[in-house]
Amino acid sequence: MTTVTLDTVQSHKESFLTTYVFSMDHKMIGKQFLIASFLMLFLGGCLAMAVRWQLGFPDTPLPGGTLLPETMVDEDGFMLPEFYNVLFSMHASIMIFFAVIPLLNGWFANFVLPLQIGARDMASPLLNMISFWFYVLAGIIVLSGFFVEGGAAAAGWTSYPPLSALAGMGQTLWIIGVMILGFSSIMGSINYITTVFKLRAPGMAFGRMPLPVWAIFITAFMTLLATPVLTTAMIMLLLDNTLSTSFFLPDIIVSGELLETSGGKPLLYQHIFWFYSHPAVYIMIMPAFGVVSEVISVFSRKPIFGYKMMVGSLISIAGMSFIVWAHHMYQSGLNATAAKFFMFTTILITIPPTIIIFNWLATLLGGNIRLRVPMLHALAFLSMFMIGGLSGLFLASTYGDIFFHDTYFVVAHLHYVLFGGSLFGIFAGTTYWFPKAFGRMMNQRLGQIHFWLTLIFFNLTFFTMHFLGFTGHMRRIAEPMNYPFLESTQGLHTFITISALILGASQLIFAFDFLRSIFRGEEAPANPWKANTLEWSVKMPGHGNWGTTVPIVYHGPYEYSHPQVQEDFLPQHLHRAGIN
Amino acid sequence: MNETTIAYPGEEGFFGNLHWGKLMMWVFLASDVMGFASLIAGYFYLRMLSVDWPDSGELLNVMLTSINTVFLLSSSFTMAWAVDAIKRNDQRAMLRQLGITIFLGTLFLLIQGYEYFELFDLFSETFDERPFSGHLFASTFFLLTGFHAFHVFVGLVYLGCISVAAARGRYSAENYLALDIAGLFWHFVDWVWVAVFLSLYII
Repeated sequence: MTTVTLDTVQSHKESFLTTYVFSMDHKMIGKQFLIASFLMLFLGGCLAMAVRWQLGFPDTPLPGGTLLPETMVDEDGFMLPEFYNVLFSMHASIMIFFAVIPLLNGWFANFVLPLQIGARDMASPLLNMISFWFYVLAGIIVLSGFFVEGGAAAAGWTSYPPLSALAGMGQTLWIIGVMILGFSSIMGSINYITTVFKLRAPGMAFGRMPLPVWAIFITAFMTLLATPVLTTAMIMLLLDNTLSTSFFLPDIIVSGELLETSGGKPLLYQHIFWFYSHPAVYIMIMPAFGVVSEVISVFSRKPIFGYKMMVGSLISIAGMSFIVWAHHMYQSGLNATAAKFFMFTTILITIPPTIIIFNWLATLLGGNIRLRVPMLHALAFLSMFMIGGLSGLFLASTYGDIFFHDTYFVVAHLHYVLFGGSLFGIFAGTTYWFPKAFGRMMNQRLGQIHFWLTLIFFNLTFFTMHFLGFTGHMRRIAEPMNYPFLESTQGLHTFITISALILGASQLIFAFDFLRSIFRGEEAPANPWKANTLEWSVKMPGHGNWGTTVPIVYHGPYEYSHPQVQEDFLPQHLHRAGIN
Repeated sequence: MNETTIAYPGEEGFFGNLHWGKLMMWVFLASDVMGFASLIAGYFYLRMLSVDWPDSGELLNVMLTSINTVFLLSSSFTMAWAVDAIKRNDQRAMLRQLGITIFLGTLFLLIQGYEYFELFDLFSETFDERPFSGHLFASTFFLLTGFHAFHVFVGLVYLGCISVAAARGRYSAENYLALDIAGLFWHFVDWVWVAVFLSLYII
């Protein structure tokens, strides 16, 4: 029991700098993450367009290519193969480290988590602010690679040594940036875990926590335990790269000359890197699970089906995610018995997400479904993620992977889970919480147009890539037409590129709608979606969320269409006899 | 005054009587454990697959470092006594024990620095004039001990700040949370050394 003196918790006056720049308010930090990551998303998208142009129209110079420096294009504006390597490496690095992870674990976590558990702020607002500025610093360092000699990192987002350990300044900056980003993630996760354990509002038992909170909470454990492992990999890679140690470098002969390195093991890097990066795959999707659960329940006007199974599935995904990492390494000369173990665990880990998907379907069944924009994105998430999961099964099997490893089939699979999964989840959540964050509604018509264009051209772009994979088309090659067996794929490539360009262009509709709605959108009511969770009961825009009152929680978050309640929803802070 | 008494769920059940600040340090330490675990696992991976791994007993000064280990581990006890002293509100004993803790930590770093100088010469001879990068034995040794020494250094700065606050009389039997949290970090730094020491020098 705590005695709270409510008069002392009113928010104090803030200057411009402490309100918008070095803010310690979790809502503002969440919005800072949102804006910064959307900028990165835009940049990463532009790089992807350039990649697609090279593959789709290899005989046409890059539009505006002549304006680029000669380290990137030749005098006619054609892309150099080295620049192609930079493009796909930086596209993936930006999208994964600076767009998807911070959107899910920066924007949603910061904005939604304290509001949904009824906390006044994060446990440590200062640490929260530092976490955001570490993210910005990491972004600046990684992007500054474009302006140094030799260009930005070009060893893929996985940066496997020996290539990455022998690369130049751009790669060094990439390593330092990723390390700093890791610190940012760890600080964030420490905050989220502590906040959930200690700062829940009265009555907010673990069994009454909304699923986005559960998802972010569990994701934070994965971030917490996996990210330091990445940091150690980056430390060793940095030493190899700058101080010519040989942690990851065996005896190497470059242009006929034996380098000084010896005895290192490139496979060690792959083990350590994937020990982080497989949990990271779930770090990139799990908060979206939470968001989509919330959206599906709200827009079906039904309680979420199998709440406890949802939480159990999330926990078992998080636990198992630490013992599947070597399925990225089947073709690396991994011991065959070890490969069988990892194949077994990998197929096992598909079970909990399947439970979650069936729970969503059961929630939809017989629901009073409202197809607003967030719900459309959530439904797209459900179906696209399922396709991505099914193609993942082919890659999980050691036998299938012999053929599909490092082909466009992998590219198709990862885009189905990362774009079709995470990004649709991000769109669902962003359009859902936009009224809370900015006090205005987004335009429904523009949202619908953006959604349908995205869904159609996403599928045209990435479904087609499965067929490229069937032909044995390797990923990460700048000029596939140099290989005789791939000459027949030019038509497919051109088709994919045209679809991708339209897909990219339709994101501008979202950007326009987003920016316009912040300033000119229709004024949002207090609870526009008629949802139950606590964030919709906040009236105070400033620091402290609930001002001089404390929200008290009386029942679970998904009491929609309860037979004892006249309306079809019952906010968590409203008491009704007999419902708990 | 508008006062209300409310039962927060965070005060019952899981970590009920643990302050959030202390919980935060525990959570951070869980993360740090993974960092050390990853480096030690990587060390053993490289060592077991190596064909020419030297005998650590011949190259390293095991005796000196064993004594050094005793210094570091004793500083863990003096840290605990400092917290114990403030629980009894004994300001002078707390400051004395904090001083000894910082002294022992600094002594550890100095002795390790001396060992580094010696090893630089030795490794230069043994490994082809490249004391740091000539052989993975040297690289992993400096990486692991350096990573730990960095933690000791951070811990010393941390304890330095805490001592300044303690000397100004900021802590009492009712309020010693910051000291307690700093102690938690210091204990971790001390006892993780055992794992590092065993891996590098003994096994």
